[in-house]
Amino acid sequence: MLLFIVMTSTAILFIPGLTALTAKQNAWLVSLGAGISSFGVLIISTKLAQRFPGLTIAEYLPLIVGKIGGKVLAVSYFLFFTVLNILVVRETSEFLTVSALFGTPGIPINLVFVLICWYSAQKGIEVIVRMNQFILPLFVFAYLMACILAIPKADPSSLLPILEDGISPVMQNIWIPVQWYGEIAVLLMLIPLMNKPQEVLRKASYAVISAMLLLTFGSLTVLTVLGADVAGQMIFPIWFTAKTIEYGNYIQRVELLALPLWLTGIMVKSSLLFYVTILAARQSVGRKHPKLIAASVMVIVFSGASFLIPNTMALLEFLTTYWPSVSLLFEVVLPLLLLAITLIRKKKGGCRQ
Amino acid sequence: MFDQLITRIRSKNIGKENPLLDERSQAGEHLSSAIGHNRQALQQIFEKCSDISFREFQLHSTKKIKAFIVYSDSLCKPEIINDAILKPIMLEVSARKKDLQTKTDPSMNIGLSTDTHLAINAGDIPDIILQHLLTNYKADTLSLISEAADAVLEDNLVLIIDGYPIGIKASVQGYNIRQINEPTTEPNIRGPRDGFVENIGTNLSLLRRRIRTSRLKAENMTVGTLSKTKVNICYIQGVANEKVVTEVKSRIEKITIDNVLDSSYIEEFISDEPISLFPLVQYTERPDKAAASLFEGRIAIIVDNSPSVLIVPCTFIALIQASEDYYYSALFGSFARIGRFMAINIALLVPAITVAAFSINQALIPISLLNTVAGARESLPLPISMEIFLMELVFELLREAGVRLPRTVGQAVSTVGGLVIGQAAVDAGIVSPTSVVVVGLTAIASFTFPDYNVGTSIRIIRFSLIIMASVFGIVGIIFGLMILLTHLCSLRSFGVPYLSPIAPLTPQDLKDTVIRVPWWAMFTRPRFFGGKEPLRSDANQLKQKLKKRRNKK
Amino acid sequence: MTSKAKRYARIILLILSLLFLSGCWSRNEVEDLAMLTGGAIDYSFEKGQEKYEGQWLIISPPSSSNSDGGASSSKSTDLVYKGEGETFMESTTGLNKQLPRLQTSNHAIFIIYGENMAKEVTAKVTENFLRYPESRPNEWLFVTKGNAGLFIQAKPTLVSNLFKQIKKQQEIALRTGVSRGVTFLEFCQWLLSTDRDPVLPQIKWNDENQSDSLHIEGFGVFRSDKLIGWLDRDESTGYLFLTQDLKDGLMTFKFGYGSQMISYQVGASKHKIKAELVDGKPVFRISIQTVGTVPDNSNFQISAKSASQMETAAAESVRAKALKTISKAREYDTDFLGLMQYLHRHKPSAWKEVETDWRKAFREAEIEVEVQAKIVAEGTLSQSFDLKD
Repeated sequence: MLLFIVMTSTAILFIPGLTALTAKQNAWLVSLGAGISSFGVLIISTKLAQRFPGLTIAEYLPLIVGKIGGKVLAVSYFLFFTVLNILVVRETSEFLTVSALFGTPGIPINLVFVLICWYSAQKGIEVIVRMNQFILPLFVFAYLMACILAIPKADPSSLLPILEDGISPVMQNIWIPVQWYGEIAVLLMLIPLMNKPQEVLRKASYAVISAMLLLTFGSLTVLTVLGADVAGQMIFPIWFTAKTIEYGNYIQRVELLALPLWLTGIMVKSSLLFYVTILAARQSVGRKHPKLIAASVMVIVFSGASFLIPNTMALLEFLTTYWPSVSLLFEVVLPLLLLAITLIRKKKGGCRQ
Repeated sequence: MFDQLITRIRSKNIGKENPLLDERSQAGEHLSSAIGHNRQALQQIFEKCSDISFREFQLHSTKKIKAFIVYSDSLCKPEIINDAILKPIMLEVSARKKDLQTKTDPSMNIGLSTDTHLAINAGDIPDIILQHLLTNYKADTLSLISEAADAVLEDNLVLIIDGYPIGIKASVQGYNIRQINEPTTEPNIRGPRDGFVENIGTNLSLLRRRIRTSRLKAENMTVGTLSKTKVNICYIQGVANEKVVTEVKSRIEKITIDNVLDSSYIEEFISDEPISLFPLVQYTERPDKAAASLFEGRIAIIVDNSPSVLIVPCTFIALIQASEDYYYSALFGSFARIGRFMAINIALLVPAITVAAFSINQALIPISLLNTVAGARESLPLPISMEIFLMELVFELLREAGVRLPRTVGQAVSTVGGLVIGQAAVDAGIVSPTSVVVVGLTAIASFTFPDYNVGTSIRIIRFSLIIMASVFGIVGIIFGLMILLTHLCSLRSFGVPYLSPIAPLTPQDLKDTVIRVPWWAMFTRPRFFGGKEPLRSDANQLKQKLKKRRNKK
Repeated sequence: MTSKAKRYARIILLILSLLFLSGCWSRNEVEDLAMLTGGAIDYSFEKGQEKYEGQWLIISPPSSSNSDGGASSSKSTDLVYKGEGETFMESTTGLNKQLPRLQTSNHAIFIIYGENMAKEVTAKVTENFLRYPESRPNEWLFVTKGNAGLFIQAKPTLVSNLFKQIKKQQEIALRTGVSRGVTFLEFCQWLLSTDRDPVLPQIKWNDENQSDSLHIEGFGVFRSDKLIGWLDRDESTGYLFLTQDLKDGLMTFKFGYGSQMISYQVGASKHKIKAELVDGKPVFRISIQTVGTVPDNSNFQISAKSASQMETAAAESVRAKALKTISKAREYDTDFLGLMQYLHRHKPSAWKEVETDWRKAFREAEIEVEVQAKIVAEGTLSQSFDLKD
């Protein structure tokens, strides 16, 4: 269930906008297709985990690739998660600046956001899971409401013609949502912490399917309500879609009520990322000074989010051009390689106590 | 130099201090056969205790055996002493003695079985008294002076007979106990109206009446070095989790405070997190609520001199449930519960949302309302967050004042006072009518909580949310709520996660949280209390009911 | 202090310090806001310099009433303020410098584009609006002949504020079949789409002189992003028939029946478009069905037989209107009826052929309109007046 939140929270904000630009009215197909690819990531992750029961990726990396190489790769995974976190924080503050808090510069939002998510991560994975269980229905409800209430304004013929320019624009754009779906790779770190690792494949597939459905539904709504052209122009088309909800004089301005619930979903995701990052850091770099590591992770994420990316345009560029390849590397390619290596070497690791 | 002076003064005083003579100082000292010695020891212990009385008398026998009784005037009931103790002893002992001595034979030489494992010969006077004469329902022997002193302090009378190093204690409790009344803090419209009182025996009886099974166990403990308060731990064996019971006992054993005036002292000691916004130990003054908790597999802790009975483990949902939900029909009960959930949300969020909506996120409000409020606020001195803060404070004061005022005046002050002050403030131009409405609404909503502690927590959280809202608007509210949620999710009360059954999700327990399903559907006990008997009643009942329905159609 | 308490203390201190150094940037107390409810934008290009003039309607708060604190906002009046600048944003900020309060367009309900502006810089201004985070997709856009600023100063009739009036009036305009409200979102969609041209409803004064009350009638037609023409009342009705499915209408127009002029009130209408490509030219077949009553017989008795004849006549008049609209569209070389868009969506292969110059294809397209009008009732009388001297 956690995985669901992980994938959907930020994805929903960005995907419709980015994909609609090129794929136009077929953007919803893009969402669908990308979902399938995430199954691949899922399967790879679970197979790897089955080979090394009880270990997280940061721990069995040295086993597979040798100590030094393993440590280096583990550190790079740690960096990967950190960058993921930075992106999440930055995306959130961008969104908030545009929608709810106009004048506030990014720094205080970043700070408070990072502090809170870090605090949640400190409490442990169980707390995060419980929070998630509490928030998940609310998140889904808010999201569905925002979409469903906007449907009367929808124009289904905006979706036509389907696959106008053939399948290639769809394929070209699949890389973009894949990076979000691929965040399921966070599973690599989490499997050993679960109660019943054998069921992971089944449960995670549910998560992937439902996330896929929800995102596709979201894309559909956005496209039908706004139209492909307008949707492609905006950074956060779903925000605009939610603004169109108006029934009579009473049910209007709903978007500001749906926003908080989306925000909670994002915060859970960020807490989880913090936890994973800190865990990866501890396992790859060393087991001493856990508090120092935790604090430094927080500082890194905060400063990265505030200062590393100069402006929104850079963020968008980064997301569309550089990040897909990088994330694919970490989410698909590396695990695949690792799996191949283990199969060749027939290595199996032991349980960690 | 100054320090040296002080230390010397101090050490001098220390040397001059007399050792305290209390019931513990003579621990281990046995009663002697000499009555004079015993009496002197006890008198020394109870020096300057004007309510401890000694009464010497003689047993009616040829030997003129002396005896005396020690008892506490303030704790005893004179009739018992007169009729049940002194009368038989003084008048009949010798007759009996002769009787028995003629009939004695070795096979009947059964020693008194007492706690002190004294081998007392049958035929001795204490034996005769204890076995045949003392028509008291609680009589026992003792041999230590400290035991004797303790016995006197525990509503007992101690009888010491010259020539025997044994004392006999008998219960003569007869102090005034408050009558069983309706609990003032938890009134209800339907359902039993008795409430716990300050006596542990009465409280236990209130529970025992409702649970007439031997599986209701009540384990005794004593807490408090000076107060020696009796504590009973009650649970239903086989339903409650054994681990929790042992945990409770061990936590109570570790308490080393000198007095326990109220169960809240114990609550603070055994709570997982004593300084937490949310209570991790529930308390109630209603026996039906306590009994219901016992049936669910929880543990009740009854403390002497306190009408509040503690119930552990405690979850957030339990704090929101009221007994009346079960006494009304399922529909109304569910309705009431949903209303209460909404009330919590309102009480917590409405002031913060108002602040957020009117200062930062104006997009939330349609323009006509916005315009009206803007116009009304034009001439007001304070920004809206300050206003709401101020009004909340005033209402807090009123509430506190209302608690302490005598009942006749209290009601008038709190309700009318609130309105009048609010109105006057509006007229004077200090606050706007919006704030008064908002604050009044939250005040009303916050009175719906069955548990007073939760109300207090919600108040504190509300204030912090107002602050967050004034800084970050609606997003600030979310930040605040997330911190709160994190905190709540990490709480555990005796091993049970605080937010069960919502998180972690146990679907079969959900039917008793927000709604209340009818009794035929409630055939499982809450899973998280670890009860061994998952089924309350027969699951067949449910099947039958469903079958009946199908047949009807 | 225990380490746990220390940790709590640190966190609390951190958050508190946050408050003190924050200063709450985005906090605007509600009484410090000037809420814009509507605007009119004009543009002129004189002596090589662009000038944007925005006139905005600000709702003035009711004077703070005493004791009762009741919502006596019925007396609130709208105030009009003007801001000028070289770019559009400058003009809006120029507006703000005259006000003691911060302006917010969070609640803007309508915007009127002046003629000059619509002819030249629509795209710029609209994009600006879309970029602005506070704008809402449900704002109503209008266009006028001449200067838009004057319209802002109109006095509202029957309601207390102009924005309320306009909001309701465009609904009524739709029902009476003279125009239709276009939301900001729709306008953007049309503007940005590659196969359709936008229209905007037109605001006019009630009588020819600039008097106080205004009404909404007619449309302004755009070609891509430039205003090129207007639709009058009949053409607007035709436009509505061709592109909308009406429910709940009160559209009344007269048609000739024999020698009489009878009015036909349309309650509901449906339209269906069929498109094909024949010989490289698109062919459209539009069928319109209307259902209505005849409230005004001119003292003419209607029997069942004459009713069907009436229906034909009514249909003919509807058709005439539709054809008039289509010919106007061809004259202006725009396709605001959405016919080419329909072709694009339902016959994409056909669209590919005409994509490059779709307007030309529209001009050359064959369009057939079939109307079926039904007369369902004739009011409450079954007998017409038959007065003899």
